[in-house]
Amino acid sequence: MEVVKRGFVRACKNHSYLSYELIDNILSPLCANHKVSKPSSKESVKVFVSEINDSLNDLGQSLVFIKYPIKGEEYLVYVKTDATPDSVSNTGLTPEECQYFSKLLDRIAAEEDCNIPWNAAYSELLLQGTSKTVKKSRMQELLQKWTQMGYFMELDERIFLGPRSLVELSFYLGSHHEEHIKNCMLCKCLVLWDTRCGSCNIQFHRECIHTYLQRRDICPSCGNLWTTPLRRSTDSSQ
Amino acid sequence: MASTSRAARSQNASLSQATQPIREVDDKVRAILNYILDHTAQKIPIKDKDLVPSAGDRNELKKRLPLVTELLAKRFGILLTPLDAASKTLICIAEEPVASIHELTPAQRPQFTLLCIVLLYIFLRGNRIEDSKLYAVLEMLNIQADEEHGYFGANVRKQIDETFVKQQYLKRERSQLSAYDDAKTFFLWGPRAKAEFTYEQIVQFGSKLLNQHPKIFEPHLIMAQEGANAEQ
Repeated sequence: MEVVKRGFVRACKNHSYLSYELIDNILSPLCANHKVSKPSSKESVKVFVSEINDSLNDLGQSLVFIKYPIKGEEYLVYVKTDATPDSVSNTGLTPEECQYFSKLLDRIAAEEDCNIPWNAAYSELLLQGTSKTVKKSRMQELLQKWTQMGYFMELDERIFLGPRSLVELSFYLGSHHEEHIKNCMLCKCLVLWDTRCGSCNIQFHRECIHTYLQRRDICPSCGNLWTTPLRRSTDSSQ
Repeated sequence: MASTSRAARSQNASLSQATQPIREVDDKVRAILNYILDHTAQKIPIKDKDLVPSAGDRNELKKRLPLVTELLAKRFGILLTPLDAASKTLICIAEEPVASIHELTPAQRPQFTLLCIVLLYIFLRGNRIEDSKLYAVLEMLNIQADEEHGYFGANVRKQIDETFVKQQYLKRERSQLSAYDDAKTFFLWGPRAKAEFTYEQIVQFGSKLLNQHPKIFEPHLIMAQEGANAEQ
């Protein structure tokens, strides 16, 4: 089983973020090769991952599950526990390219719904103040790389903060962009693109407010009656 | 005399401290490990001296490398190995081949497939194929080395000649039969290929690619295994 766990960790690090379907696709042949039974339910996968985390956390690495509402998915994300925008993607990058990452991140996080049109990602404004410039083709290459790494997500011609940014950089985002990026009052984790109270507009995770509303029928923030309908399933996309 | 022996003792203590390997995970161990993990994706060898900044100085690095090597192996199944016996260059090799193509991202799959094709043809030629012959075989598969390919992308030649060689998947050897002959370049399986692929895997791949029963590769398998034994 240890060999299976190690193989799984390497695959997670390679992908950066994985859906349950991909996890299953990876685990099936891996477990079959080593003749161990595969964790097949979501709960057993979570237990499997938490066992792996025991061996990763003291080394500054972690595997974290995060719900990603705009894709209607829950992802497992491979993260470094003490990352900052500067340390995040700077393998072999010039200082200007690192700065492009930080500025792009800030630009997107400053928007109300944390997304920008795709062509705004190549704006020269993002490179203002740098001594050397970054070619547009290189910016495209880098954005593609960072999207594959899970820091950004492209959807419907817009660029969103990706699942890895939300986990790895949650502290940075929460402290530098508190206007739009807040923590869910119920679980204290970052919440974006999720359910809002009809009265006070405060955002909660769908699952958190659903559990809460099983005991009360008011908004935990403003105390008014909760009116926003909650969709049953989290994996039906719009 | 007491003071001299105390001085001698403390000198001995600091000498042994200087070379004593570290057994606990500290910030420097984490920094070295993180540097290595950040660079494994590219699969390019890491020089000893690249790790020194994470440790502070060469001595601090030396004390921690055994622990870092052990942690990489035990927690990640990544084997940090010197490129060759004398080398100050290290490569990270996975402890076993990927169990399925799902372990690779969609972007990595074309390159992986190209690599499998190249390794297959080197294997079929007894682990040594002249570069021109390899490119001729690829042309027969409609893969032009210097043209953009719909699946394998641009620069197939660069991927093979440069990337796979740098990543240690392929080894390049130059050979000259005599002073009057032109030097020829041969491709062989590199140390990373030998560690991350098995001949059986390549045979399975070959039988699917060429639509043949794996049995036809038996003579090649025997030859390859004999060659591997001889090397050991």
